Amino acid sequence: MSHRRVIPFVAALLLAAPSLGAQQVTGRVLSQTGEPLAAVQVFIAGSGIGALTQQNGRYLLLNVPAGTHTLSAQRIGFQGVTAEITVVAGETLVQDFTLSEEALGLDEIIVTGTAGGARQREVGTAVSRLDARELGQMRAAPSLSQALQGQVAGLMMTQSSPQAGAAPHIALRGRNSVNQGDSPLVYVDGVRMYARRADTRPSGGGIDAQYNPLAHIKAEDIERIEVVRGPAATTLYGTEASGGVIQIFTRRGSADLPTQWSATGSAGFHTLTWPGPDRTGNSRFDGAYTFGNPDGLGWFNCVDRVTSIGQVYGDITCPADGDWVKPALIQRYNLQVSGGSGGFTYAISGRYGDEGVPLDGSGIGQGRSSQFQPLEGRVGYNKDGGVRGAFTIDFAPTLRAEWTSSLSLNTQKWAPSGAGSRSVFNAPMQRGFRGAVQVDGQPAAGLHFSQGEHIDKRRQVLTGFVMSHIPTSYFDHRLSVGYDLNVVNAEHFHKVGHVMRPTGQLNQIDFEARTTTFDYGANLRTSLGEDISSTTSAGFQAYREFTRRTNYRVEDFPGPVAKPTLVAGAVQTIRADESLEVINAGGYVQQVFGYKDYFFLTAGLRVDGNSAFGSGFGLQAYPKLSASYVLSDMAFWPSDWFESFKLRFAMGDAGKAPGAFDAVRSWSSIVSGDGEGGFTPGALGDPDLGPERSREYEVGFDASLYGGRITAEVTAYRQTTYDALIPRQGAPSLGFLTPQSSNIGTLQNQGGEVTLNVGLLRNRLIDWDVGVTLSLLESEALDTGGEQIPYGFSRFSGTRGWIREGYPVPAVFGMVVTNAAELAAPIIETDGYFGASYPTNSWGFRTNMTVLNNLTFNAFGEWQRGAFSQCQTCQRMVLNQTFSPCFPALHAQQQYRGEDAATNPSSSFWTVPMSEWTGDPSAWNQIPAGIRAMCSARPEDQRPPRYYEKNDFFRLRSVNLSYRLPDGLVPGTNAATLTLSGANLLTFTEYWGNDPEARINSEFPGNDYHSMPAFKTYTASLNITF
Amino acid sequence: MKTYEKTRMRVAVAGLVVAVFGASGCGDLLEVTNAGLIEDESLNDPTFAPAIVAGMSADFSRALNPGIAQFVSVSAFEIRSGLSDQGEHVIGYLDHDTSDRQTTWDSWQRARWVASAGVERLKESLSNYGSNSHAASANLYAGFTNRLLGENACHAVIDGGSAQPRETHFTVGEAYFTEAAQIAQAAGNDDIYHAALGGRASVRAWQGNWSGAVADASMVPPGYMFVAPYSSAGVQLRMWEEQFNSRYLTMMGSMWAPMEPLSTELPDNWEEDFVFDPRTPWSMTWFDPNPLFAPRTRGGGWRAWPQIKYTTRDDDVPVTHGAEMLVLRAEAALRQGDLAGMTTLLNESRALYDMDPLPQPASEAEAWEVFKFERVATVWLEHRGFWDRARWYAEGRDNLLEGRAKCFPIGRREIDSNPNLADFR
Repeated sequence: MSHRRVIPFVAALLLAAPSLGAQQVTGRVLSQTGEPLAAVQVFIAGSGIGALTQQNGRYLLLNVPAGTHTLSAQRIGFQGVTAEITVVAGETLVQDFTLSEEALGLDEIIVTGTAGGARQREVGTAVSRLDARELGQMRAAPSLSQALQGQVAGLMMTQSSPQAGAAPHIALRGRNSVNQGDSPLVYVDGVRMYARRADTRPSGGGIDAQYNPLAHIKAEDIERIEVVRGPAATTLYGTEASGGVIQIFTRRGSADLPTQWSATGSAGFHTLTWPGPDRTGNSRFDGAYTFGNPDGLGWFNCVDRVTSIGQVYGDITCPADGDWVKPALIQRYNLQVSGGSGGFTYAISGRYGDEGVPLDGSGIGQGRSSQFQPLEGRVGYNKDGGVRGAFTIDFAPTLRAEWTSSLSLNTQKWAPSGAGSRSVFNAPMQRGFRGAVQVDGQPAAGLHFSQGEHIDKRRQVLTGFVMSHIPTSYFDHRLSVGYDLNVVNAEHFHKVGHVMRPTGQLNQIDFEARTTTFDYGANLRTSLGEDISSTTSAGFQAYREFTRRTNYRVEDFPGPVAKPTLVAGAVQTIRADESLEVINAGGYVQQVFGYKDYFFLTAGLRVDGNSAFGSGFGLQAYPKLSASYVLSDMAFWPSDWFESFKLRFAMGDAGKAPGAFDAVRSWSSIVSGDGEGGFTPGALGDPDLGPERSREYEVGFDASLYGGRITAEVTAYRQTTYDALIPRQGAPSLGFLTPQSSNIGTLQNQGGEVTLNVGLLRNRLIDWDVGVTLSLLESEALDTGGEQIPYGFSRFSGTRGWIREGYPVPAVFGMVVTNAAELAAPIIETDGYFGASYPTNSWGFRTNMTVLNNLTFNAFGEWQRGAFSQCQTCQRMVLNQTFSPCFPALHAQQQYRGEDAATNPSSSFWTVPMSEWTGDPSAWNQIPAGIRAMCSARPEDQRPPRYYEKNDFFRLRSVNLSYRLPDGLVPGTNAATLTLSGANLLTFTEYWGNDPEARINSEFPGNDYHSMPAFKTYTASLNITF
Repeated sequence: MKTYEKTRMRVAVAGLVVAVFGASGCGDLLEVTNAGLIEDESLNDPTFAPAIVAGMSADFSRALNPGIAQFVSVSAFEIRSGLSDQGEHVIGYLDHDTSDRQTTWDSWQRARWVASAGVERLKESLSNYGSNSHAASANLYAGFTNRLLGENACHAVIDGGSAQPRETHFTVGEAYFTEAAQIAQAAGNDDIYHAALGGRASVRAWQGNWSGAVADASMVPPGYMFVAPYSSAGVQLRMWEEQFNSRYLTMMGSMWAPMEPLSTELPDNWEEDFVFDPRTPWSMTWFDPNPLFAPRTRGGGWRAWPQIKYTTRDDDVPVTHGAEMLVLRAEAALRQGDLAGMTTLLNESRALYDMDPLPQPASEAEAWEVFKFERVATVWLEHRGFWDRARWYAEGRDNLLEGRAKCFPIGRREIDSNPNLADFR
């Protein structure tokens, strides 16, 4: 007997030890390619006897009555199989199964907004679904957001920072709201969570990263994710759902399964390099600061920077070894246990992770002076821990209670970056006469490392209770209550002696978000004759969100204070105190008619009220209508090779509520310089304000061919937002400066989504799949009420995002050089159109190959095209004359200005008009107009186009190599898998700035303003189950 | 039995739906009172008159705040650095677009609208409007905000109207000052009365009514001062740090401190070469004295020449004062060719600062140069100098603004949002 047979046999004996002597059934469940399948439900129908397979695919059923039974094996994503077995008294029966992937899963239950959900075949909209297996392939992407990136068609994700703990912004099918945000609603086990950005950044800059509680959701805890895109699918979620819905389901235990443990440990490091592929040839930042110096290396090291006229700037606080960049260690641990008994199941997990930022100030200045104190502690880190529990109790066969709860604790030390003068990326990168943190005019970024720190402490409690009752076969109902608490305490501390805050300063921002969810739904199933089925659903949902943000500042400490209190300094101010409460309540009713289980027609209506609606505005009704037609169930269908094909169509409305104060004309309080309380204009108000209404039409199909080897999901959609809330800027001469939202606009998004998976090879040797995801998006502002709405970063308003009729939402306009290639003075079109600010088409490419069931390689890359973003880093470097693409032009300019310009470039640059330049113009005359415009900052000569440029890129987001160790190699385990992962290893782009995805916030249009580029990450992890 | 159960269930579900819709429309369920909301109607209560005026004061201080340093740079008086716009300001470039200038325009307009709309509200709500000090203050702020706009903006745009000549603000401001003075007199409030006269004197002068200006100015006591208050206790009313942070505003290379750039070594007795003017105080400061940098700068520190007229975030900015009135009268005398009278008045003003008297200039041309220096020094960093340079340039008496902006264009947001300004788009 080979060890392959001995081990399972022994394992089965061991597992069965407590009940030796009784009849039992054991075996192993494998995929078509021989890969052991975990979490397969193996059960004897009608007996209450069942179990889930473990990581090695094994299962064990105890105390099986002697006799003949039907044994079934089922798992989501696979076609279920059954076997007739005969159990002999006192003996153990071995029954193995092989499951085929059911790529389409028409009978899987998905969540649609009603209690309990619906079968995939009944649903007329596209629903993307990722299960634990797919998420498990993303070892390099431990967070939910990273795992989703590029995996779901129609999902756009933007990061505010690559630092762990900086959560992204997610948008589905583009921006369908001007001012109300486009974030989807996020539900975790039926409980809505606060899943928007929480601004805990201090005023005064230094931090461009933003926090989003989504960062607390880890891929290891997730059983599956359903992404519902667009109003046609989210109608039953009502107001606020027009941005789509993401449903997250965490892992559950199973009754009658021996306790199963799973532990994962990962270690690795982040590092930081210019993401482009070519560091020496056409490099942009490499050597950007080393004019005429081919030895210049890197863009963030301690090599002295030389401007176009030879001025030398070196960071006097550079570490002794000459480089700020140091690999930052990563460690992540996760432990899960699940099981159950009788009517009780449980799944409990705990995690801890610690990730640094690949910048190091521990040797600050030691190479240049002993004056500087090395950094105490790390420049930045994210320490994340938490526990999660999911418990289910079946009080009776018809009554189930589920309680899910999680606690997340997180400490984040931000490495300062972004536009702020204290940004660590600002000072070293500028290197010129405008350097930010300076001593004697020299960049001294290390001082900020050592004298300032920005620490967020976060806590999240997410808990939900769900009671499901199925009193009869035709009626079921469900009640769920949820609560989500997010607390962030952010402290931004400048110690006494800080180069920019010599007397010290503490900015404390306390943020709190509390959300409460109440959801009741019921379904009534009947039949109207033999062929027609009917499901009537109704429910009521209420949601309350309370947020509060306070900002305290204390400064001018009497002396060095290790950890100040809010009364420790001479000046204490409350800089902000904002609290908002919003309540939304509504009900829905939905009717589904089915014909012979292959045609389904669904009609529904949602009615909502919202505390933010104006006094002159009543309830809002959102209708929906959808149909699905499973053609592959028809007799004529060639189901032998084309097993599944579903056509679907849907139309539906959803909404987006206005801001809490938008309806009321109001004033804000202000304290005069004499200390007296007063009033200043707040919001203009609009009593007829209501929600935006987005209506979407969607048509598409789902197909599965050749035994699931080819699967496709194709969808085309058009969504139109009526009554769009357009922020109307009142004339400042009328006193109210805050734009007032009014229901005056119409926006439109249309596009297509394709998800195609092909199984190239499927045999016992190799299982190789490739997949492509394509998202096409075209948006247009059809009507803005005549308004042209500036949108996005506004400091340099010459070029920026706009929402204008007839253009994408938002579009980028600015100063375009119309004769860029000519050897002439630039001709500037001051309000030229660049393009869309978002990717108009995104491609995701993935491949997954398993060899001999043990060795798995997968990779995922994303290609984004069509977006324009602002490279303000480039613009700032031009001002500092340290932007290498401009060096020839600056040389020519230097010659043209004459000798004075060479000795005092900044003053002559700014103060001497070009008409008075006295040098040699010949070289300047050879500079094309586009380069002249880009490389000069003289307002009178031109207004530089502020460096909006296409930021198309391809990025290899993740590469994973996993090896499942032979069974028994690690004693005491059922399975062990070793994985090596890499993230962001390659990037191809023509973008000039730090990183095509770098931005100071996660909005469109992007603005790269000394923003931190993506980290390259390498990890090794070991997962064992026992 | 099954039929009965189904019927019962359908009734239950129908009842649930009705209950749901009823509940969702329930006013109490959706009733929310959020903190911080002050509804417009509540300001009509006469007891809030002091708070309405306090808001005017706050918005006026906010309107002045960024421009104090910004406009010395625009008007080429001092060197300002540190912000992204400084280059454009240094070369005197102004247009509709740059956002901080939009904010400046907006805050000027907000201050003007708040004051004038507050006057109208108080007329309705105060039964003793004609003799109420708060009503007098409201008119005073309406006057000063109009003066601020008239002195700095290229055009007058009032309450969403069309663009008018900037001098319109002086006409409107004069009416408010007149009403403020009348009400203050009726209320027996000398402080507001003198401030109103000081404000009216200036706007009368800018309209060419120098006799009227002199009449008003003569009634303002020499030691009188009306200020825009600032306080570090609040967020919005702190004096902008960059007004006094030497990294941003430095006297280096200016008419007050004609020093060489940073890299030049200073002689040990450099202080002896300068006569310090108490109206334009500045100092020289080293930052971060560190031996590491000794080879590069004197003493190893980073040298700067900050102004010290304002040194904290609590410092108030003079809006009108007795010294300014004396100088205004001196200008009127100069325009009459009365060089002796001008000298006398200037010396009265200098005496307020314990400064030595000036000799009488020998010629009118010399007198103008002397006068311009005295005027600029007297109202230094009070947001007045840009106007002085612009009006003198227009009269051919000064060329400092040659090739530079002379006034502040209408803000882009105003142009985009005001249908009466279509010609500016």
